[in-house]
Amino acid sequence: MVIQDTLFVLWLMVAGPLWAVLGLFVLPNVNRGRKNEDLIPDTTLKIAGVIGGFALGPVGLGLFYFEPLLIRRTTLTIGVVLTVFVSSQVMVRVVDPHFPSAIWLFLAGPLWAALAAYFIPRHYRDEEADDQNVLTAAALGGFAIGPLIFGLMWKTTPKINRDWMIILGSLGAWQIYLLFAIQNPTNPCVQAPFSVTYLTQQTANGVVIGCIYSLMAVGLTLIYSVQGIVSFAHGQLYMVGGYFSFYFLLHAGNLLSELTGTEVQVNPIWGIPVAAVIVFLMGAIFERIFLKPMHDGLIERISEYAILITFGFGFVIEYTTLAVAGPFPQRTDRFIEIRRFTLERAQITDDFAFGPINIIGDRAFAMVVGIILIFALLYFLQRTWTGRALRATSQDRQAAAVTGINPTNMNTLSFGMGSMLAAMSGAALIPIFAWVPWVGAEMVGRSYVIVVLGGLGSVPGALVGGIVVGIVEALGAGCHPDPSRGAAYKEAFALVIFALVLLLKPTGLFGREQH
Amino acid sequence: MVYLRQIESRIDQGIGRRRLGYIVLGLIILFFLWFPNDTSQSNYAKTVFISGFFYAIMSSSWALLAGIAGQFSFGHMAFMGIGAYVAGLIARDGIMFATLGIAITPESFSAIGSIIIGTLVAGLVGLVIGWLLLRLRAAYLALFTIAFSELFRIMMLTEYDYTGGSNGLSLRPLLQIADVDTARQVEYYLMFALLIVCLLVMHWVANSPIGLFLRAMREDEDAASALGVNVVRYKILIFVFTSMIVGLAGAIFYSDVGSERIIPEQLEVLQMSLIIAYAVIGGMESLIGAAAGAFISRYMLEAMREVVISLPFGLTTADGGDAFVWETGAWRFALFGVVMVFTLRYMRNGLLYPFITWFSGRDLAMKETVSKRDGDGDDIVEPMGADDE
Repeated sequence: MVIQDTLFVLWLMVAGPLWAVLGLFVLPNVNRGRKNEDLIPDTTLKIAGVIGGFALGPVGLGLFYFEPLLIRRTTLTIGVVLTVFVSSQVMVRVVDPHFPSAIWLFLAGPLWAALAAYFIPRHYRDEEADDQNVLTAAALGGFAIGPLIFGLMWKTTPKINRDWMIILGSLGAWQIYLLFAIQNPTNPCVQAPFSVTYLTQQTANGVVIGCIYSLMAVGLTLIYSVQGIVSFAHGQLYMVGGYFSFYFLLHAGNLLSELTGTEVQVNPIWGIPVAAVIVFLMGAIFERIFLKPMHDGLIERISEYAILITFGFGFVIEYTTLAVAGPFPQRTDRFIEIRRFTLERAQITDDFAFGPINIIGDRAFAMVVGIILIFALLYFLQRTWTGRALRATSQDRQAAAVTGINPTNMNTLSFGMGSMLAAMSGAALIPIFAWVPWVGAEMVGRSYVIVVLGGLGSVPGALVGGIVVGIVEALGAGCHPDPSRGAAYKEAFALVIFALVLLLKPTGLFGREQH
Repeated sequence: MVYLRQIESRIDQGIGRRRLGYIVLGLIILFFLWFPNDTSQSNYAKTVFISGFFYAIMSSSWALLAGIAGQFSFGHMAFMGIGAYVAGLIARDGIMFATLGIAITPESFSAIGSIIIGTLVAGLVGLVIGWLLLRLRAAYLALFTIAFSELFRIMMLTEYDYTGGSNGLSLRPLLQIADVDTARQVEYYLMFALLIVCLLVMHWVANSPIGLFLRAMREDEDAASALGVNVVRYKILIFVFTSMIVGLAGAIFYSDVGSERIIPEQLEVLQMSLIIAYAVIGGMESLIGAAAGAFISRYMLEAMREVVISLPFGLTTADGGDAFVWETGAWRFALFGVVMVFTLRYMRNGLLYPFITWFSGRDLAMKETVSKRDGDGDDIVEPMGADDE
């Protein structure tokens, strides 16, 4: 399917403003049903509606509507990203490619970061200022603006909020980009005429796959927030979800073909609910047998037990699948006939063109499925009694039990639902990736990065984290000087994020403070 | 049962359980020392035993880290790989720091030298990871090491110019022996000696004051910290220590006679999960239990490759054979996993725990204490009962 460039321009002109206007009217409804002290100023909501609608369309509006906490940060991020992006494009064109101080930049960043991370938090403590997040900000700032960070933070010891982080972080990212551009000027990511398109293409790929990553990570975070344990069977549940979908489609297709006498192909979308139901039951039964004793006080040192027992569960699933399905790669049919969606090349000025951008049809479809499921989950958590009970249990077990919520059932529900989400993302991705019994191992490492980045136990964190990890992987793989290595090291880029988060802010972006 | 009780009481009055335990242990060691001299055994059996010793080292060191110190790492195989790969690369390529003008040729390293460097590098990586993660909650270490070992595997697979990719890397042989039978024999004794040495060192660490600190931290970190134990430092110490042990084991195992190659497949999470399963089945809180668990499980898995059930009374199967033959394939691992999960749930200290406690006489002391507390002498308390409380 090809969208003509006139259509594309039309879309830009109409859809953005259209969604913006819609946002202007819809978003103030967030305040409905809120208590007085929770009210968000109408102006803020209106601005967020306009910007979110314009930049992200329906996705932005939905996000803001269900998670008003995200409004401030997201609008800020969009603004900073656009600024950094445009300015870096300008810089790459202006700076001489053989800038000799590239090595200096490279060495100096970490150096100043280490210095700032060592001295500034100590200074804050001496001044008895609020030193929350100071370490992170100092390290980021040292990396991004070098010695200037001392000037900024030494004299007045300002309170560090998220805006600081976003700005400093973006500056750091910009610097890496610059360094990259200088060192490797022939790379498609920085080469002047193509870079915008290429980067947008990579980013789009990242966002598309990131939505599915999010779906999986949300499951992990849901289990953590209610039960306080990390499920080490998550990757295997993801894998087995894909296989359930595969076998269901195979048998359903054969059965229907026999009944009707013609060749019938079942659309893989039907595999998603089937895998969801089966894996939900698997997770719930496992929880009842092996995790419930943990909460009943029958087991000592529960955190260790939880790691091992979920790991053992994954072990059994993986080898059973290997025994049943064999080590051969499997794949189902495609979701949709359309091979790829294309935004045609748009000539904006004489020497600047944008596009074409391709998104593989099935991936786009999987993304839509992922987004719908995530919003359904958010709706469930925010607006239904059971969902609220789940959140209440995650906040305070005893208090929830007093109000008549059965924590045991909530545990089972959370583990079942978390497993189900993993299985659903598996079933959504089996038409795209070749499926072998050990796909889970690769995927699960990624979802650990996502949940730690977003903050263990935070659903919006998992959402944002998934998309960030998707983008970083796509950009890392796409911009690596050696393409085959870049593809192989996809996960390494996510792991770098992991190490940085642990080093700078172990609670993650949205996590509760560690006790 | 009555006879068993009688024998038990005789032993308690006579030689004592602990001494009997030492005798049994000595007999087992004697058996292992004698085994390669049995000419009826094939080289295959020796190979199974050698890999059994290797996995016994891996599992018991994991038991020290996870069972005794309470730190869950999934990176054991990765550290083993670091030891082996670094030793192999150094012995082949030497060390080059082009910018600093340092170049050491591979010839200047002996096989032992490269193994030592491999071990040290494994320890160094362990130090960095430990410093980064051991300040945080237990789950973070598990999360990070699982991702790290996957990354390490991919790195070894991708950088095939250096590491040989999926073909693997062969290390410089530690011993040059042409005759295959003698080579196997020497290899066998080498690995067995390594296992004994590692077990002794780890046993010493586990029972030293450091081991006591670690146990205290495992039970209650805040309390231990309040009593003046530098929690993070000891955690890092034990993490580095176990990393070095597995690095050493890996470097020696893969360089013994040069017939084995270290391949990236060996570093998969699945392999790691096998080690964990061995340790859990054998008993996570006892080094010897974990080692024995690994050896026995390894042997069982090897023996279960093909299950043959002979039919009695001259019955035959449908196709005329007199036995069912079942190629177990991955099923044996699935079954093994089921055993692991149920062990975890119902026998937390492993399947070998009853034997170990019986020989150590610990349950005797426990019974005595409990019966004193309850005010009567009847042995109503089962040895396993104390486990669940």
